[in-house]
Amino acid sequence: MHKLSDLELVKKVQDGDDSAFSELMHRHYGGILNYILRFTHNANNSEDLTQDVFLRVYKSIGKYKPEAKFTTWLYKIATNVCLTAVKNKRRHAELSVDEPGEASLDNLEADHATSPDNMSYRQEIGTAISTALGALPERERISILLCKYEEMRYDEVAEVIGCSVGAVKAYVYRGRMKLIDILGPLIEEEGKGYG
Amino acid sequence: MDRERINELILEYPDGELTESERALVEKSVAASAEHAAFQRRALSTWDLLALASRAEPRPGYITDFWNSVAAEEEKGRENFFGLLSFLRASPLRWASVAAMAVVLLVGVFTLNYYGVGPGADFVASLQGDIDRGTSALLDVERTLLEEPASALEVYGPWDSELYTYGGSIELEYGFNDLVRPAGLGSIY
Repeated sequence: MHKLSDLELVKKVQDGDDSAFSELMHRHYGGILNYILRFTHNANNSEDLTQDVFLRVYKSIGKYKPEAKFTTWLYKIATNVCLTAVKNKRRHAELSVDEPGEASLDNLEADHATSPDNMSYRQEIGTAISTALGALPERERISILLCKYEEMRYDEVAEVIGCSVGAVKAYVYRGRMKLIDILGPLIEEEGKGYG
Repeated sequence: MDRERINELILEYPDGELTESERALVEKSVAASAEHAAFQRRALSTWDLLALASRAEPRPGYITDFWNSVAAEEEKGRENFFGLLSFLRASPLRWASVAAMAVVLLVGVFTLNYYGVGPGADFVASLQGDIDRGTSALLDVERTLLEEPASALEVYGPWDSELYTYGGSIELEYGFNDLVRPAGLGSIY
């Protein structure tokens, strides 16, 4: 039996087949989880936000029109969820000091690292990348995340963000230039220490 | 070409979306300039480095958790609906008294309407008057437009200039309020 496409699965969900939605989740859950993790730089609630994204998708799947690719639509919803979460966090941070129990990406890296030697290296690089990505303006960050990690084309990213292809190219260019500046020293260090 | 544009092309080079001439330009610039070559190396290394970004694995049972959330949401929706019903049921108002009040209200409205009295009667009458006046004004405008004589259009000049050559040369002098009908044109009017 051939593997059903996303669109075929969506059609089945629209016809009331919930198992097709489980299959869609199985395919895209990891991608959305990591997109949210890298976007919000918060390991604590990325899983909850991912569940929220799929809940929204499930509720509104009846309205989905196949003119857009399913992943484009999915990442558009995920981006909206991320932006709302980041805004809420910012508002919350203005009102109070940092939450004491908040898990950072450093802790997450420690959980997933394979060996103690590798751990500190991965941890250091992972933290630096997260910090660098977090320093980018939101549109540049979204463009870089979608191009690099989700391997989306510029026109797909443009659809997610709701802007022109030219604007996405500019976001990616500006974002990459900033990342080169921020991560440049780390690369030189890596060349000396780990290369 | 400026350095920024070359850098931009160097960044886009691995995407494979550059034109033949742009690709050639990048290759030429990188071969000719140590600065561009260093930039290309740094750009590629940074892009590759991003692959080492933090990564999380979904927690076990995430699909089950999702369907539990869906069930919980549906349950909450049902509770809200039944909650409203039970609130109405538990309220001190009894259905019979609510129905009786509704009937009294309806009968009252119909009665007042039938006799043309009540607080709304004056308002309805004045509204009707306004509508009648408005209709009458519109009819007046329409009548005026239809009755406008053809002579009123003469201010725009003759319809067919050839007709006016009949009878020799004619000098016309037109003004909005000063229409002079040329002599010798009586036959066409």
